[in-house]
Amino acid sequence: MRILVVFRAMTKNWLRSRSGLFFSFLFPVIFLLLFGSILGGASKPIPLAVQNNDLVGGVPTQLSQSFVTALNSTSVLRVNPLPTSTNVTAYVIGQAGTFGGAPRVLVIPQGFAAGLGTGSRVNLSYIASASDQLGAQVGSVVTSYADTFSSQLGGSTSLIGVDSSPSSARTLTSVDYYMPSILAAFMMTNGVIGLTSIASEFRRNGLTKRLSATPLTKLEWILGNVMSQALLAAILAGVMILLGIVVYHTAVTVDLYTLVFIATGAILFSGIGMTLAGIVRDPEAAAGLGNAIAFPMMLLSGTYWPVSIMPDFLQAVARVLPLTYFSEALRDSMVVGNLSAALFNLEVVAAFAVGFIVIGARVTRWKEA
Amino acid sequence: MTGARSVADPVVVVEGLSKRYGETRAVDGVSFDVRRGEIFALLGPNGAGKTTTVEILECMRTPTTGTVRVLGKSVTDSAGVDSIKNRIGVLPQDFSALGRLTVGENLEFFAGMFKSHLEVGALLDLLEIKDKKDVRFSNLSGGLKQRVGIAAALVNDPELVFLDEPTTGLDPEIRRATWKVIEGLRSRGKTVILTTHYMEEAQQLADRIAILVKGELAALDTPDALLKQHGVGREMIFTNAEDAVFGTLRRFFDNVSTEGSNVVLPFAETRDVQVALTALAERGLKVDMQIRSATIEDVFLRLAGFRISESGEAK
Repeated sequence: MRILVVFRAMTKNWLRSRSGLFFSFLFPVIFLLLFGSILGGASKPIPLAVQNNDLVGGVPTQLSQSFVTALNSTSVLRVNPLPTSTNVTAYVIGQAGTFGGAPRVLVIPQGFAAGLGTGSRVNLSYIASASDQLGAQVGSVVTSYADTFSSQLGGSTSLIGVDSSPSSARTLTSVDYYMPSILAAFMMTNGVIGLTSIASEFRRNGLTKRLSATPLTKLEWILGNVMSQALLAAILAGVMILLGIVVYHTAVTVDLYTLVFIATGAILFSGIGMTLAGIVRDPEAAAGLGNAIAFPMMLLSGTYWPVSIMPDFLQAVARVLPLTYFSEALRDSMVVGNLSAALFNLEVVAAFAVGFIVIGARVTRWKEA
Repeated sequence: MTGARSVADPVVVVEGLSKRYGETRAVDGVSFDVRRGEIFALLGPNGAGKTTTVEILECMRTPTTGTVRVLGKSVTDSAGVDSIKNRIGVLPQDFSALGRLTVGENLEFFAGMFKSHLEVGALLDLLEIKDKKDVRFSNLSGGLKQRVGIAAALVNDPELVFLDEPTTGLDPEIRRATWKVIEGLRSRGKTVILTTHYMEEAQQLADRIAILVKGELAALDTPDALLKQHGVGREMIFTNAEDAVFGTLRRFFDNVSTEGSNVVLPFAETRDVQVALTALAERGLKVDMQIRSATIEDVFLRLAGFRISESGEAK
């Protein structure tokens, strides 16, 4: 009951803050509009060059050809075959040098069919320019199709059926691709920067101390704040999705899973916020630390470009950042339609969330020394 | 110091309380009790250990040594702490609430922390802030914020109310208005523990005053008894007096002293005034004399050896 009292008061207090409203809701909306304007909302297939090296007697193997056909038969990607004689590196450099050029190449290695036939792992190579805004998202789509394709191989004798994956029927735009990332990133900043500042300010002005002299427990205080953040995240998601539908006619999936993902993410980032506020006593320092954590996390977690194109050591960093998993979970669930991958990422996000809530509860001081 | 120990039904019993931070002794071997229905003042400069002491009583800090029982429960026992928190009200130093919530909303917020609580409307009436119900907390003056803080401290109809420096930073008129509110608590049967560095406030409000100096309890009694035990009675103040005034009075009184350009002569009998004025008149010395009654400030000066500035610092 006291959790609800904290939840109501914190939500009301936040919603009456002009700067809070701006950075929580309006700023992400402006950001999405800017992204949409820059990238365009046109729903046309995205070109992808595919070099199929899995040949037998100069002819593509049936399995590799099926995979290419599956990729091409959706309205998401438009596959352009790249001859095996083409030097991929030179091709990418050449294409990138042309105005508006955004080369994205998928290379299917020799031995693709043979490897899959024996149950071995086969690595495809996906190359995109670091400056290619859509490169990350195309990479995600390809990965998703590869996952679906290989899982269907493992679970069925038939190689046909890739076309039937949910996302393959949709027409996706750049806004579709970016919306989950932007939503995830701003949920993260709301928790890691916004809640950190608020919670440390409450500690400075004595409100937390005053509340600690009442029967309110530390856990009730934390959970009330987390619930408030979850509601704000849901509102933010609603606003952004509505904007996407109205302005860009997006085709993202919003279902019960989406709500569960958003709630889990909100718990995670609130936990980080409460942890930072508990560790750093000074509100300015806490806000600074929040920024110092949030912005690198945003850049390294595949929000704006694929993790796979980053250097190995940065990829290793990305793999320990919770935003990486949350961003992928939202994208898999809302855009790609790969629920199994989304659920895996959700498990990771939930583990992070539990961890940070526990740490937040430990470092939040409810009793003075 | 602890002569009131025999009084029945103490609301607070503190015995041998110490609080150390490393080598620093914030509170050092303090013992006292607080009786039901009284206003009990902890008086001292900043850093004397007042807030540390009340925060231990409020279950917000853990004592290093000593026993503390509040409303019959130990502050170090978790079950006791739950019971205490339900039965006390707290106005901390520099009270703050949710700035963008109104006065009424903030009081509802604090009320929501307790299973049973007073009606917010009744609290607004009690503190005479009904017309501020819909004003955001951040838009209130300092005095009104303190009133909201007192209202929040009363929201659970507590038996014991802690007021930590309730009038610090308020202008004299608002300070006196706040005193009336605090006196009203006594008339409603509340026990009040008040910390202050204002001598006048302690003297005006408190039934008993505990003087804390450097973490130690220097004195504890009613204001009258403190004046009688440690006070200097009354004083003759000869303002802008020439040296001859001091020399003349010194021949008759051993306890004459100087304070800047003033000569100060404490006295107990009215006859002493006649003696002093006659002696000065016989020497042809013209003087400007005032009589000053002793105050708690004089008691404090005698016990602590220093005064307290308006901001609470030792000087």
